[in-house]
Amino acid sequence: MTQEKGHRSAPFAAALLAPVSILYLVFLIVPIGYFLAVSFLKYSPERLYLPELTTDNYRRLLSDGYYRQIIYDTFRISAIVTLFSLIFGYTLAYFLSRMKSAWRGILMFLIIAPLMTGVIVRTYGWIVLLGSDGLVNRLLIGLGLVSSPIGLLNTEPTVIVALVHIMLPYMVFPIFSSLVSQDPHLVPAASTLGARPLRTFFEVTLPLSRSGIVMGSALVFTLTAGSIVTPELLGGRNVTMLGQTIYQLILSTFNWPLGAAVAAILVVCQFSVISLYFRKMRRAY
Amino acid sequence: MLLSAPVLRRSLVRLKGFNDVQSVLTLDKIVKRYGTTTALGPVDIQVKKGELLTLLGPSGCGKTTTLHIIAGLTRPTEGQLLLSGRDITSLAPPYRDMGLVFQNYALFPHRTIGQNIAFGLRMRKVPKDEITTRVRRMLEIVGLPNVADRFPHQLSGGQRQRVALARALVIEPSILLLDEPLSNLDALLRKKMRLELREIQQRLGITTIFVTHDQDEAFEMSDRVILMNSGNIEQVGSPEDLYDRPQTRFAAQFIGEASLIEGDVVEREGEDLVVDIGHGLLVPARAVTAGMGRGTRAILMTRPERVELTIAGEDGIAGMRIAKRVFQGERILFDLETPGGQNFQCSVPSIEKYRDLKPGQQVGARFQECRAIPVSRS
Amino acid sequence: MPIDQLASANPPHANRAIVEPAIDLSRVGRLLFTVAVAALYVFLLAPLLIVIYASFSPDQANTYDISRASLRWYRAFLDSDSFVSAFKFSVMLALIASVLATVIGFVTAYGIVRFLGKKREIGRSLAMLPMMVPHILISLSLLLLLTQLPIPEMAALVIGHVLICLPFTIAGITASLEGVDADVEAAAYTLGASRWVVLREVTLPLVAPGVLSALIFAFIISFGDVYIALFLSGPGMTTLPIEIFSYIQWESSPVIAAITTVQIVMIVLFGLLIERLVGLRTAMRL
Repeated sequence: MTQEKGHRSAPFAAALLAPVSILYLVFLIVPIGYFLAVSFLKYSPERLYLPELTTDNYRRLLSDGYYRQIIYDTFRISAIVTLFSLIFGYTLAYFLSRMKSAWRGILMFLIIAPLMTGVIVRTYGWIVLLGSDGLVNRLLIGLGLVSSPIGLLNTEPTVIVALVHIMLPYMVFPIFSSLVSQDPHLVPAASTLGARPLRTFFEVTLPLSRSGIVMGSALVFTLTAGSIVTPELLGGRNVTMLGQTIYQLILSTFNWPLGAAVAAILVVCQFSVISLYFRKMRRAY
Repeated sequence: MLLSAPVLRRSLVRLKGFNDVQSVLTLDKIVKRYGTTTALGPVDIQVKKGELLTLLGPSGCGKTTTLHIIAGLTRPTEGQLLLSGRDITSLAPPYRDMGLVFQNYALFPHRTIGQNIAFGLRMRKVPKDEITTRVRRMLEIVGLPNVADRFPHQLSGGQRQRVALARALVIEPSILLLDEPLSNLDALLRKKMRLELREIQQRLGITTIFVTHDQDEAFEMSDRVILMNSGNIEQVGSPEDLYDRPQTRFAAQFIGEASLIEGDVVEREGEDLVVDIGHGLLVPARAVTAGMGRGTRAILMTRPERVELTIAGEDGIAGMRIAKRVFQGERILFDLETPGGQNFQCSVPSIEKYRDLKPGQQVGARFQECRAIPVSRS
Repeated sequence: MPIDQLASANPPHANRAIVEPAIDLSRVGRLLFTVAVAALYVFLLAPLLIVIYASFSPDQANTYDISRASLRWYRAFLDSDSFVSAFKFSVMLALIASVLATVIGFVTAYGIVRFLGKKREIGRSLAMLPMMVPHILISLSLLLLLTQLPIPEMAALVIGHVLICLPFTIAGITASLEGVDADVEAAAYTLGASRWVVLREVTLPLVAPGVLSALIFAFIISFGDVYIALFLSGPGMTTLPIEIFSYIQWESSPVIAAITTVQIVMIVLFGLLIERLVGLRTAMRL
């Protein structure tokens, strides 16, 4: 039933949507615009910035091998994390979508619970698990595979494993939604037409869950590329991602213009990767 | 409450429609537009005191919009709404005093049946003990004396429907509005509720506007029917009027089974016409309106049970070809084709005389009570 | 086309017969799939379970014989002023932020669902804005704003948390409101209830579970946040995740395990509460 129930619904709508609009405008859109604008201003050791327009910050980031390596590493790690999250997340989402409802709630909760504990708790879990006196090292020694604890922390693979762990739930839910919204008669329909289960999966189920894959991947990629805490705690000096660089530039050296430029590069790259992905997926239809 | 109009509003009362003592509610040139598209009107409706008036039409014809305008849930773009002569066009729903029964009943799921029915009375600040007695009496009227403490989800569809009716009636509204109230019930219950609804309505003598797309419902229950199509009123009349004397091609086709044959008026005497339907075949018909003189184009409306099938030697218009035969048990339905290639239907009793007629054979037809509608009205 | 013509158009040999495979591959596949799912659950839960285990350690080590389990690190947590005050501060911040995000979220969702009509989808997407930008960008921008405007630092932290909670409260309450039949509101309206009475007597009771779970969900998000607090917390206003972060940058001690176990238990309880109220899936709807 559609109707304007109130006789003067426009003012009502405006009044109800005003708080959120003001909040987003004043504390989100304008400050982010301002922050990104600072990336085009000159650095000053005494002040936040000098009000002089310049592209030096960007030129420095793109020419300096140190920063180029960080940009490259960040997107390589994000891509790997997205790929593994997609494979694992799809498996879990598919499993949950084909499940009887009584168990589904509990198993679903076991995926949501880690998500709700926050990044710090999960990262800490990996420190405990992989530390020199952690369970993994104890097991390796107990099995006689190694004689003394091996350094599992401060390596890139560890950062990737932990990030996959942290991002997995974000991948599961969009894919799960797209799977359960599929017409349940499609699979039996394909099988009566002679398609075997695997064939049915690749020809019917997978293409129809594309929207969930795109959503989940975009989310995971964005979140991973912006991580600070996990690479900082698990990667030590051996892994540096863009988020950490921004953190150091702004909180340690107070170089706002350069920090803003790194943030801008992060955002621009994220959006271009995501939009490329969206476009590719749409064309594939 | 605002049931008694404030002095200010009283001074603004327009007396239009007030002279017409019989009209409780008047819709005066009501128009509803969404952007540039006109969804309704202009529509003029006069609702008489105590009658059950039905708005009948296919989905999208504007009947529900009309009902929502009356209830105040939709504001008309143009026109005026008068309740007993008082202008209520811009009055918000809470002050309108209309009892609306929704298609899906719209009962409050978090409230008991008793609380559901009491809601309108509470809003009117009726004393507690009076609410209790009125709710109990209302539940008796709708035949559900023992459900006051249950919740809506514990009732069957038919019971919920009655509760929705009770909730709308208990506030003693000046007009009861029913928005397809039977469409969510199964076929058997629907037939039973039709009679029950009509019985309650007549017992209470409450002016009622009923919206439906089901012509059987409309015919069985209504005093008057307003037939609507794409935002406009096609015809207003008693159920008999609509069935026997459709004024437009739409009315003829929407109500009952009708066959339409085009032809030219060749003779006219009062209301009686003779129409040439091609190849010199002449059919007698009665004009539904004035102004269908000789030489004008006309549409003949027949109904299957009003065409008699004739075989060689009987008195009828010969030259019809059987296009299709459908055996229905007690009757046989024939699709006949005129020499000019126009089709019409004819329903005959399933007796031996007609049993062996096969598609392709030539037969005759005798038209009874044929109506002629001017082409311009279609 | 009649069915007999259809048959003659495709002679019988045009279709190759589908042959049943000799071994039942699908059973092997199903087994492998089940093993993979079980392994993934172990992967998901191991880091949390190990933290709970480590929290009962009798000494500095993270692994120990379970018969020697002790509560000494819980004691150490309660004796540590910095962690206790960070915990208290996080609870307070999360309470303020989640209540604000829920109130604003309700008002916004009500506006979107009941008044935006066809533009509803646009409204809903715009409401998700804070989720589409990286959280560090939000907090850095607010930090920059702090340097320019006389905003108390606490206010900036609250605003940051409200911003990251809003997409979740708006989405959750919108879903709840869409479950309320607009006709039920219209019915109350025609029965003489004013707009305010309809909201109070009909709409709010019907969406109460959804609103409450949005509140809990916002609390959880605010409580677990690091990225906003990383830039916006300062002396005297350190959240628990930041306190933990700065601590484990230097050393690892089972006291952290004890604290995070408390947090895990709290979150699991909250999660179960949401599940009871509306089901986690509805609350999670993004």
